[in-house]
Amino acid sequence: MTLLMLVPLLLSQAEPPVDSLAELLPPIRPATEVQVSDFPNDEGHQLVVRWKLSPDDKLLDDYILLRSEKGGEFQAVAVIAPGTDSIVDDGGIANFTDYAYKVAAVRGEETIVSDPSAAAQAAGQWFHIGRINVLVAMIFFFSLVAFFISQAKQGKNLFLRKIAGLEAIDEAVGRATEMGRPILFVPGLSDIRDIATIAALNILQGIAKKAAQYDTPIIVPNKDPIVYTVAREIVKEAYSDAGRPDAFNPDSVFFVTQNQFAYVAAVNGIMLREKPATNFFLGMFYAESLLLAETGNISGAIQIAGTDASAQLPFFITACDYTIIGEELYAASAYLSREPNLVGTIKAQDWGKATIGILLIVLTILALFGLEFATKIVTSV
Amino acid sequence: MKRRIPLTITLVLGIVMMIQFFIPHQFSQDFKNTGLEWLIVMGSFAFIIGLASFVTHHATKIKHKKEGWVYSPIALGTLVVMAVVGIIGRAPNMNWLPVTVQGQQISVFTYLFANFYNYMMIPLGATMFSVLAFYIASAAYRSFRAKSLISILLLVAAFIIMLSIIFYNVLPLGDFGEWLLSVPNMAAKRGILLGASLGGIATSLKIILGIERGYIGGTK
Repeated sequence: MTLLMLVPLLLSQAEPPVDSLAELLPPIRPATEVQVSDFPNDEGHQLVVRWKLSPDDKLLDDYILLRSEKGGEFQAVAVIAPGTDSIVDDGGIANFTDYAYKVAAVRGEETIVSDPSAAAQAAGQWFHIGRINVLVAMIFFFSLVAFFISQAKQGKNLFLRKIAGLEAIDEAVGRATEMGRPILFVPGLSDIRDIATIAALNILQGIAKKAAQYDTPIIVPNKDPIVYTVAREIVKEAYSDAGRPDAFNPDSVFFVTQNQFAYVAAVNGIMLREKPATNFFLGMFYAESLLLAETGNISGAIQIAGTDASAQLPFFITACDYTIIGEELYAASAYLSREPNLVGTIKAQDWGKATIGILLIVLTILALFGLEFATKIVTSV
Repeated sequence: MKRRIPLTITLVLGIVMMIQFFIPHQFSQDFKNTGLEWLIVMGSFAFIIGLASFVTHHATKIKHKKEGWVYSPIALGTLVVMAVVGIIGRAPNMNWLPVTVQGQQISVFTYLFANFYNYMMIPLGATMFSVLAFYIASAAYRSFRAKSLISILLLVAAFIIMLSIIFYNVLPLGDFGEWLLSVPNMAAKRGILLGASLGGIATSLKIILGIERGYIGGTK
């Protein structure tokens, strides 16, 4: 603030007052080569200002950034610590307007201003250059998906390895039917924007259909109201698909609460009161994963869990009978339905993973040989 | 038609949002922000549906005297109390039944809402969370039973990490424990993350292209 108060003084070109110590020191030298340019890959309203540090940088208190709009008067816009040679100015910058900058070096009451920069304008860009790598990877992956879907459609046999957790779904639903007890399905605690939630809902469709066929009650408590709405439609449709629309109980899919631990308390209560024979915990889970899984374990239910939250996987592995790990959750709908289009995407996933693995090995070897571009790729991806 | 319209909307918006990711221009950002605002609006409407479900679910339980129905009047009662106290108490310029709290005059409804939240909701949540400590102990006991070579390896690794944390700078295990966490453990974690990310992208693509239709109730 004190430094900003110096600015009018500086602009009026008045001679700064000096004290006895300052008189003994040689005068400070200004920052030089002030340059301004548009900030890349943004929506505009930002400029990058760069300068060469004053040779007396270590003796300075601060730099003050001065800005002039459309050739007008220079005004202070920022106070910058010594040693800093660039700044992104995003304070009140209009697009397509000329801005020029000066940098004032300050020591005590002594101030020296640099020459002004050439004027520059801020503008929004229509393509994010920094995301070219994402675009290339996306095109490559989409091509793989298209290729394997066409292969699957031509009737080529695409091998899928056995996934124990998914194989066990039939057994788990059958167990509930034999015991005459319900199935509990928890579609995670995240919202519908989470892709893990959608993957869980895709599995719900198959499970609900089986439950409808076997006339086994299914309980689906929800934490998110949108997920609840979607889950309800899925279960309803599954009962219709199974030819038993009348058997659908609208009260079996319900909204509980949006509070994390209140939801856990409610679901744990259901597990202990209704004693479901089978529990499915599929989707995104947080700290509550072990609370749910341990309670289910205590209630004696067979449990199948699946999540891509790597921090929660150990808890599920410990407390559940089967755990669907990471990518297996996303493969579930294809694995269960064996529909060619869906199976094709899983093969694309496998090849995508293999490509990334090979690239990592090759780039690491190249980086070990000191090839700079390989190091750059590995560290920037 | 019932499925074609949502599938068309998903396809068009999916492709548009994919393109939007590569365009940093103001126009593109405004479009994205508008979409996010719409999502909030839709979420508010969905909340009304959720509320209706909550009330219906508990009313049915009370009506049919299902097991544990006694908790349902409590759930409905607390819903009504919190809603009334919250709506009245947080209304602008609300000064009904003022009480003095820390030298400031506020409505008794505002006071009650804050107290219900701070001294009931938060402790109840914390209580549930603290149960985790006991569950972790029982889960750890099950995990660390040396039944096979893999479980012995897990037990030894966990033992080293626990010792390295507890006797940090005392035993020469600190670096080894850190290495176990940041090299083999991180490698496995990244492998899972890599697979999950590709799975997420593939699922998104399947949804956008209408290949995956389970979330709208079927594959037909």
